[in-house]
Amino acid sequence: MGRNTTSLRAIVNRYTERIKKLSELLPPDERKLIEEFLRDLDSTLSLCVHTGVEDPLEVLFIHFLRLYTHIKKNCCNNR
Amino acid sequence: MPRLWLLDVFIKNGETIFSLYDENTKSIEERVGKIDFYGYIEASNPTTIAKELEHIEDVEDVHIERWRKPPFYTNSIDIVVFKTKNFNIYRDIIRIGVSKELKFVNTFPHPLVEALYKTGIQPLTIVVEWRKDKPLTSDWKPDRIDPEVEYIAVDFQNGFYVAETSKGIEKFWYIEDLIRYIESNKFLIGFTNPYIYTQIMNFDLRVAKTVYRWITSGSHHPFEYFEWSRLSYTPLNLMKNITIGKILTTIEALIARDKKYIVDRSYGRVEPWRNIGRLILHDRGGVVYQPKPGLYWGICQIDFRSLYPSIIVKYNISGETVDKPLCSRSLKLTWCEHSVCLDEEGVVPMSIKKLIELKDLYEDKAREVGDKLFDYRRRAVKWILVASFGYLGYRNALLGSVMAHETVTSTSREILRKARVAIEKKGYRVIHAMVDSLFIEGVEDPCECKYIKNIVEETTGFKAKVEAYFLWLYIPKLLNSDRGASNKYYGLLQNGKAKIKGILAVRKDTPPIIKKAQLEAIEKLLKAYKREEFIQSIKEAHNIINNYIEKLKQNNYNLRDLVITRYPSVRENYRKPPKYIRESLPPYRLIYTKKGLIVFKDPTYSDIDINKYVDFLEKARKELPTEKELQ
Repeated sequence: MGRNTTSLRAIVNRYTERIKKLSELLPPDERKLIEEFLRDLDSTLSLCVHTGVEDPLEVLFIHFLRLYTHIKKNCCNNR
Repeated sequence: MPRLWLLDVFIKNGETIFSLYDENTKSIEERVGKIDFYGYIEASNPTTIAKELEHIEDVEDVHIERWRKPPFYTNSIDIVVFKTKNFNIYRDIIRIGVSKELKFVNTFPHPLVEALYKTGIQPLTIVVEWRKDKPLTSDWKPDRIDPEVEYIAVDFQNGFYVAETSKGIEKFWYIEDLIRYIESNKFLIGFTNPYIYTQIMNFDLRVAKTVYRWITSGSHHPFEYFEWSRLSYTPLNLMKNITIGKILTTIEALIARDKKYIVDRSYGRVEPWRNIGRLILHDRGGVVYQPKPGLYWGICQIDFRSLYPSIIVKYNISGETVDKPLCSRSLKLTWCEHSVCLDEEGVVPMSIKKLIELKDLYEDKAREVGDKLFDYRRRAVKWILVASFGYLGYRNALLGSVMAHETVTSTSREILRKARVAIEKKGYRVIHAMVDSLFIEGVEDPCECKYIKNIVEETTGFKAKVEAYFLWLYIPKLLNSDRGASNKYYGLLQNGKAKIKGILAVRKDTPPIIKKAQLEAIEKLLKAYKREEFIQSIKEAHNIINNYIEKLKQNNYNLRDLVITRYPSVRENYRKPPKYIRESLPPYRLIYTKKGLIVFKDPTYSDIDINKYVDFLEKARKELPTEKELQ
């Protein structure tokens, strides 16, 4: 209900802002990949509202898993 | 045949006055009547208290009853119940009793409401006869029409006072003109909000008497007020400053009386201690996605019908049923950490079950008959149902709890999850979800939309409806970022009409010129039925915004089109109140000048801060699609 806690979106946003700032220090190709990783984070956040998360980092972890499966699928298709 | 309506009931000098309205002569007759007022005392020595009360003149009956105690209504205690027809006596007993530290319970709702409820006198129904000392009202049927009364509902929109009457709608810029209009007509009831009422009274106190009864809980339609009055047995006189939550709580409290449940504010249902992880996991609202902004084709919007109230009824969710100790039939919901007791029907589900049926009935009636009356009534009932969920978790709610609130939201999230899984199994894609709405992509036509609706109903077991079928739907970006706005969208419906939500054009505080510009721009988009046409229309839409910017720069506009309408913030609690709050009364009619946002008082073109309005137009533009994003 948001009585006591900050919304999940706001907490995750804080993480992504920090990651974005950090990525500015990285080489351009690495930075690009990180930006791509964060791009569709909202869709994972949307999925997480159904079940909830105990730790906001779960959202980034689930997003990472999603990306991993996509990469794996693409690799298999290209083989 | 003359029809006599019970228009209102009120107390004057301790007497109960019934206002009877003759529909033929359009006249009011006030008759003194007598009904029983009930008082309830919780005491350790009930017999002694009862004996003392018996000796008071005008107290007609005193007895001791067993009533169940909150918060879970498992234990019973003795309560002294007394009855009197004299309201002054009732009030004196309360006053003296409180000074003697007696504990009065069931003090909500107003004793007049309970008196009417127990006597079976429903406000805003037809009076069959005057029997002895009170009216006998007919049994109300929801398909009956309301009394024809001369009414005025005053609102404030786009800087104008808007007066709705049975004859139509009139707009007034000056309050003097509004007052003259009110005085020149014989209105029986006036509806407005407390701010407008104060402005009117500040200007001319006589207007208070020009209208027989002013209701200042908002400028809702009389049919809405009449419905609330009937459902909650609350006469119009007590609706002066009523909130929708209070109407709902009244309905609930009357049911609690029937069940002999004590209504007492001193009992709370405290939520258990939880660590921060559990709190983040469970302390959440309904599903609201972060949609990807952009244009979508063939979108079906499916809404659940009264989802939250239906969850409350289906799972028997009420303050006293959730996490109830000493329960023999407990239902553990796997998707949340609470359990619901099924031993007895809860007060909240009991109260709203009938309302859900009533809303569906009015919806059907509105469709069949096409009479606006039923649509107003449907809206009135819908409002209560909306409040029914909100009030579950409200800290002052008499019959709710945070745990009950969480049980409803977690169930809704689970239902939407199930619906999404079922829809996507069929090859569609859910692009957005918002509390009880689902937006599904890849739907060919409205028939297919119906097919998806059936899937949703079968999977979840909750009623749904096809809310809209969009040929195209546009989800704009947030004004301050590139992310999608979850509560803003617009699109072209199958019938050529538009559905617009949340954007500047439909916001109450947007200056009229900005609304016009954005609506004109969207109208250009609405001519597009194909992707190529849409891309072409984007340029035209942006040109509209450009034209308005030019008009502003050339002072080619009406100053009244720049007005910003504002009401005070909800809590009227400003750390540093803006200048206009110190200088004028709400509702505020404001304008951006070079001195900032000030009260609109005959400004000249040279005073205006055009850049502010250009910024507004740029914001309106940001809610439009761009050619770049469609490439």
